[in-house]
Amino acid sequence: MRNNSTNPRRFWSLLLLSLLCPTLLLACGDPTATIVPATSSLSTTSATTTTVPPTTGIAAPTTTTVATSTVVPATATPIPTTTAASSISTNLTDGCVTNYDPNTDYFPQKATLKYANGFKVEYFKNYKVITVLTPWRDAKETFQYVLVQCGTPAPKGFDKALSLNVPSKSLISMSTTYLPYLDNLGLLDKLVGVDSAQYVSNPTVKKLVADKKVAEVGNGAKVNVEKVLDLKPDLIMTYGLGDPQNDAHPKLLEAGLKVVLNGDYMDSTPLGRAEWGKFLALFFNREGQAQKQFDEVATRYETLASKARVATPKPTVLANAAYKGTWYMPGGNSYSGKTLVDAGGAYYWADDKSSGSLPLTFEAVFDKASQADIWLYQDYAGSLEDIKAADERYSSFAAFKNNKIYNNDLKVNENGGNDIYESGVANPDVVLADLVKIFHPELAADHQFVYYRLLAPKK
Amino acid sequence: MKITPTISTPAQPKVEIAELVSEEEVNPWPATGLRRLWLIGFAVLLLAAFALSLILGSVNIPPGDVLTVLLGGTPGRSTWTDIVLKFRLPKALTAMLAGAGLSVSGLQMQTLFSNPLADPFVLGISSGASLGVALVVLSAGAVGLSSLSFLAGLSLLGNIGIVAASSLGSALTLVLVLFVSQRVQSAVTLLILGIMFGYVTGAIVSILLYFSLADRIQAYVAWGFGSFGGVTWSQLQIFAPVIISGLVISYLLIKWLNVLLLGDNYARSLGLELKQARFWIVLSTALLAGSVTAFCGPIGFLGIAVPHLCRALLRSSDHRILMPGVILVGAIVALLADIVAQLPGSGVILPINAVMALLGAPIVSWVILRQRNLKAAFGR
Amino acid sequence: MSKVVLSATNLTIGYPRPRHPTRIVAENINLELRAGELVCLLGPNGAGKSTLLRTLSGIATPIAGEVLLGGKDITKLKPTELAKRLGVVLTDRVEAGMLTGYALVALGRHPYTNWSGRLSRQDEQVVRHSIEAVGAVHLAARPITELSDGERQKLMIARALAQEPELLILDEPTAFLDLPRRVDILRTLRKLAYEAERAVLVSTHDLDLALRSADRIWLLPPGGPLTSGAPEDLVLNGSFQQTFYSEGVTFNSESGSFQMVDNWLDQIALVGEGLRAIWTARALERNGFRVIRDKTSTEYLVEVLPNGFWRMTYQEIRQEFQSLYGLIQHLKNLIQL
Repeated sequence: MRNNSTNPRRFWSLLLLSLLCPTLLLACGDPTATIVPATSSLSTTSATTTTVPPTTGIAAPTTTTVATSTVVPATATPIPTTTAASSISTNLTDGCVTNYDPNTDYFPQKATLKYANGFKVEYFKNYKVITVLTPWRDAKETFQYVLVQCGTPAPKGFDKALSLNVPSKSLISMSTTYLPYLDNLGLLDKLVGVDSAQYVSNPTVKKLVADKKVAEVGNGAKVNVEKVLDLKPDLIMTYGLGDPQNDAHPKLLEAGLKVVLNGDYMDSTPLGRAEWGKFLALFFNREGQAQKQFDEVATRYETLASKARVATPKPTVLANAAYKGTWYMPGGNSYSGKTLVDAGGAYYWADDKSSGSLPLTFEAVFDKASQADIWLYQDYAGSLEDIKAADERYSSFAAFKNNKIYNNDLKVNENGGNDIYESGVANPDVVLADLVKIFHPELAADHQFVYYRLLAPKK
Repeated sequence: MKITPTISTPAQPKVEIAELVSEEEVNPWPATGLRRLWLIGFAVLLLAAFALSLILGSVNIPPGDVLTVLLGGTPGRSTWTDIVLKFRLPKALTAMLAGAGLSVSGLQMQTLFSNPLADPFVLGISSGASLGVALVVLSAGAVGLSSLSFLAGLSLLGNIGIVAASSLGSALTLVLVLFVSQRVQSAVTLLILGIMFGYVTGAIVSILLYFSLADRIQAYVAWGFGSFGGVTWSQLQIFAPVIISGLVISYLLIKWLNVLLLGDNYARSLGLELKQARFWIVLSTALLAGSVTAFCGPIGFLGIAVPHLCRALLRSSDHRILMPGVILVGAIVALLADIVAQLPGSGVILPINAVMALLGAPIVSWVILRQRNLKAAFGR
Repeated sequence: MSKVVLSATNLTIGYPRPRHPTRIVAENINLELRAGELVCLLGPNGAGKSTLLRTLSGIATPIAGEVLLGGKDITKLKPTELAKRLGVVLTDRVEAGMLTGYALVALGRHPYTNWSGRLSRQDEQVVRHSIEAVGAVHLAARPITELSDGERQKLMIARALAQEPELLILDEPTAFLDLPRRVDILRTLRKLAYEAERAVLVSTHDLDLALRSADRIWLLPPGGPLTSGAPEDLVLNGSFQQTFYSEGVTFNSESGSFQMVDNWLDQIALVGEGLRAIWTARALERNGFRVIRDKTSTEYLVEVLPNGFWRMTYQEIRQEFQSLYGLIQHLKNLIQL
């Protein structure tokens, strides 16, 4: 008969050791990354998360404003005012400087940021420094870009930053959210590549791809580096997840390309996210135009929101749907949650502080919100019957009984790409208008639905 | 050939063994050796767990109100009726059925392959289901011209589509496995083929994931977390009969499973038709494990751990007591894990697979380590 | 003559091989097994004993010829039917988990019980009798994981008995067992054959025990043919020696055992009587000395003295020893000179 004790002390110490080792490795190594991108800021619903921020805006004449810079670089101090020895009146959107004058302020049109807090820009006479503060969730690093006016000398002292010449002449866009801004600024001719055209809604871009004027280079870790090198782009703009396994930028940077990280999806306010259009514009010296376009959007948004927020009666609002017993509800501080509040809805979870999604139980949601006036379903559904077929318990919701379920799939392309995640990001005022039309129809009587529709019973 | 009732070992008196009564006086014979009393204990525990799962949940409902609802009365808050009847009750029933079904399949696989590490998915059933679900979920949204539009249409139906796809995947795997099992001599070969099949389907799913959009991956991963809460009453109308028929078939296999404990050769010499036995064992396993995976997602841990737990607690490998034991204990463990995953009162939910493993693994390990002789845990 | 339980007519045994012609192990075997007989199957390794047993128990199909159990073709019998007539004990290691000895033996009632395996009163009686018949009553209540190999083997025999078969086939049941256990098993098998009018076929490497206990021996040399007869008959007609000689081992008919030594070193004369003389002769032969009576044909002489000592004489040199060990050491030294 074997000895009864399997030497318990040894067993426990071995167990402890085997648990410590991987934990230590994890702590010292890279933060664990998952295949699934951060659900919070990417998804407003449990359905789609196109990680690409769209841009649309109307070209506008330049406006000069004072640069807001908070970080002071080591070597030089930024220009506080527009007073300069000699000046030009607009940013150079084409071509390079031939006679460099060190006293000239080459960027009379400057971008100022009011809502976006994910990046900063500081201006110097012939270069601008952009710092991306939150490239991804829980990022431990920031990224700095030095944009040097073409034809002028590069500044010293920015060894850690990526330096490029502006205006860029060609661009690869790795997210659909950048495309609307390109369109509005008239920069589509600079586009040479996209990650994938499958979910693009912008018709011009689609045609360019079809005509082979714009190439598809693959996204994330699957990016075709050789193809990108072949296209010789001045600039590649992409988002990052902080996951080296699934990000495109490490590979591209290694290949010596100019890759810039756009952190728009991390911004949790609608206007903040839309303001990233200026980020894009900076690389083409078109921030003046972008500024004007954004101001119009912001004004429309704020005007409508200020009316909607105080309008009564406030309908109670429920969002998203359950998936296998779990209901991913937008947090109170999330992009989606904020929009609902701005549109004048009484959102049950408005007080919640999280900027991501809350995994709630179906039961808890039912208890709190089964009597909601309006339900923004925001998932795959054709008609009311589909909702019931998905889970028969949905038919117990008041919104189902009263036919007040809306879905945000009015503008979806043939492959399932939803335009709300493309142009909707650049035009939060339009999204807001849709929602206000749902919550307070009298405030948006002239507006036609662009992204949202009421679900009807199947014919 | 009758055995004459005499012992002729020298120096032992001749003892006539004619009646059982006289034997009781000199009784070296064990009773059945089956701890039937434990089964009663398990049944009581099951009732308690069931009651608890109705009372505890993310919404705080006083037990009195729960009882009121069950008896058809009106509780303090109107939503509570729906919560108890449409959410908690089907979830509890699902958990019990799933727990029992997976544990029974695990037991059968461990006996068929004489392998303590076998679980219900060792034949690749879960892989087949995953592939079905992956094809549907990851192709979602591609309506219209896409060649996968049929599957995308399925996904439009949400839950039902996933259940259908998963069942289809499991069923096809089952057919394949049955086909192979009739043509293969040794059980080990069947086991290895099942594992290989799992690798292949896993690889295909990986490729599908690689080319998918982030939110679709998210949906697929969410399916992989497993949950009992997604099964509604109308789905239970299919789920319950399927599981119950699987359990009935397994119950009828008790005798064959017992004789398989001796190994394939001895089993055959005792009159067991190996091919037929294998057919029914695989069929009932696939039916149980496949339907649980279809309705609840892939749920691990139960299939491998509960049989071991029962063997250790009941101190027997006899299926006459293991079968009912495993059914009861499987249901209990599933219910308890679900209660914990709900994090009562918090409104947030944890994935069931994680909770089960986190709580269950230490407990099972502790129980098995307490066995004096580790080998006795599986007769090795 | 008791009735024939198992018979084989013109049997050719072998096994199929993938992409090769079937391997034939032995041809034209004719044999009979009668009730009440213990038959031992002997033969060198690789001769085909296992194949023969598998064919006789219905597991393997005969290449040619037929095997009849109780007059019926064994390959045509349904498994349950076969299980009620034939019990086998194999060399397979049984890891049946946590069962009591009783439960293990009770599995032998499989062909008789209903769908749930429940034992009727009669089933229980048979199980108990089987356990008693092998002398394993003290093992019945114990978990089999605690038992030694020999004890488990006994229970497996009891299990086969519980099938109430008319024929028992055992494949090397004494492998891995120590001598007392081996004797015990064979003795039990003899008893089982005689007292219940049952036929018992045992394949074994235990030549000595087989010669002492079997009613009949089947000798299977590599390639055949199979010879059958009483053990003593086979020794006297030289079959035994022939079968094993080809392996390079000599069977000594006088001693009934195998010779450890092939080449004698020399001859030695032995004087003495009784038990001590017998064992002295064995010691001398073990060391390569052929023992003869004639003192004149050899220079070596050993005398067994009445006082318990030995005396060794070689070329006029005499010496006395207290133990055979000492005597042998001395002898060895002499040889080396």
